[in-house]
Amino acid sequence: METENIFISEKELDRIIAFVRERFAVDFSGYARSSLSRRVARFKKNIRIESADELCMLLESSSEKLRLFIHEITVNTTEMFRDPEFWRYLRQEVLPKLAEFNAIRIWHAGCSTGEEVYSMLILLYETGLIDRAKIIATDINSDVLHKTREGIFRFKDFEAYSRAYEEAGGQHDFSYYFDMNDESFAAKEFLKAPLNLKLHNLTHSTPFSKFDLIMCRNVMIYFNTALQTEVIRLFAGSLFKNGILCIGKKENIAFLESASSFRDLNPAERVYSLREKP
Amino acid sequence: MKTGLILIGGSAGSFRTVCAILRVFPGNAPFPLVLVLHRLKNVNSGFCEALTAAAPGKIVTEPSDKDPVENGRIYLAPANYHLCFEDARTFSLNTDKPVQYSRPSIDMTFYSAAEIFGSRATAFILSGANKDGAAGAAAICTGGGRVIAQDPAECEVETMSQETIRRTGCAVYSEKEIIRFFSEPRL
Repeated sequence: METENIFISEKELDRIIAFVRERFAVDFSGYARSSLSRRVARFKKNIRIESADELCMLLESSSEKLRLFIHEITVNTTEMFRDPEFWRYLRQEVLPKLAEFNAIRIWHAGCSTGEEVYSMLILLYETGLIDRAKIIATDINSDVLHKTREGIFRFKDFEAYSRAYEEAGGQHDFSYYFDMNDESFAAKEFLKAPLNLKLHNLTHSTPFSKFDLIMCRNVMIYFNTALQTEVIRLFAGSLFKNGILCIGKKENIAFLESASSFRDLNPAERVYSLREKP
Repeated sequence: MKTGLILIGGSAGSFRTVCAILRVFPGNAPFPLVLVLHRLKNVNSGFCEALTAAAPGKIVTEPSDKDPVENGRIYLAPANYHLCFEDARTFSLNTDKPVQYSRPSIDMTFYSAAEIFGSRATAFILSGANKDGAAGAAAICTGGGRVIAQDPAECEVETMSQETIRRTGCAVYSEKEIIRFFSEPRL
């Protein structure tokens, strides 16, 4: 049985966070400790190094290893039509509200590799709103932004996504939206028309635009409570009047002080709208 | 005294045993009980309710991200998330890739519990058809905690328990011994 150091101590983690912030101006101090700890441990194990000191030296000496490290810490796994009943609700209740506007502005904050973005694009197409919509998809990591632009997904995920799409109320054959290859499937160009990509860090950020709908599902789980509070404040400043915020099924903003800017629209599906300012 | 907890990991064939455990588990334990049971991805209601129904006078809840970890309560890992601990008093969820094809993964929760609770973690592995939980159980042992596997001969599916015993050399309890433990549980 392994007895190597499989846990990262608080001190080690603090050291790594401070080092990365000072040397590379990347601030992970707002990230949830459990996720940071797990991802740093995973990274250490994969490249077979033992100590925090060794890790810091490696990041200093190799820009490639630094890129991989930041990728490990910042990139989240995502899937298409995650929580189909949420997407049903979006189709049946939320998008019809937005259909009143001539232009619909949507922000996917922390879009990762784009699965959620393409789910939204498909939904917009099926509800006849794609020509009026503009989607800004942002992420801290440029690798995944590139992947979102490409819209190419692994073949082995096709069946699961297809089923989720159907459960979410999809009206076509899922393959209607993709060019199928041996190893992958690629989003057709017509889907991408509303899509804009932007490198953006949710930490220490101020509003850069206003939106009708913000999607930030299962991104803030990787943040600690202080950073979550800050991000919710950012979202409140980034929505038009009565603008809508959607977060992940088991996320919780109720106890954040900045959440007082929002009221429940469908709390079971974690959908909120911006309160009128007094 | 440092806080501790009891964890149960299970998959195929474990539901009946978990219900029997919940029936005898006291309503006011001085620690939390955390259940990580493999479950269907998009089925969000029913499982928690079924377990609550098996445990009269007690409630099983699925924590949200950053929810508090409270003594005397029974928690079930929610579908399609991994359940971890931000600290000894706070849950943390994540959507990392499935581990051993599972999300929630027992390995994930056990590893996190080992890191946070160390010697104050006691973990049970029940019936299951894959190896999820064995590596996590090894982490619990490394952290100084205790692991108990259900006797493979009594498991509906022995794989999970067998693999855990192989990796950790842990104690093996019959179902009767497990039920007896949970009627007067201690860390």
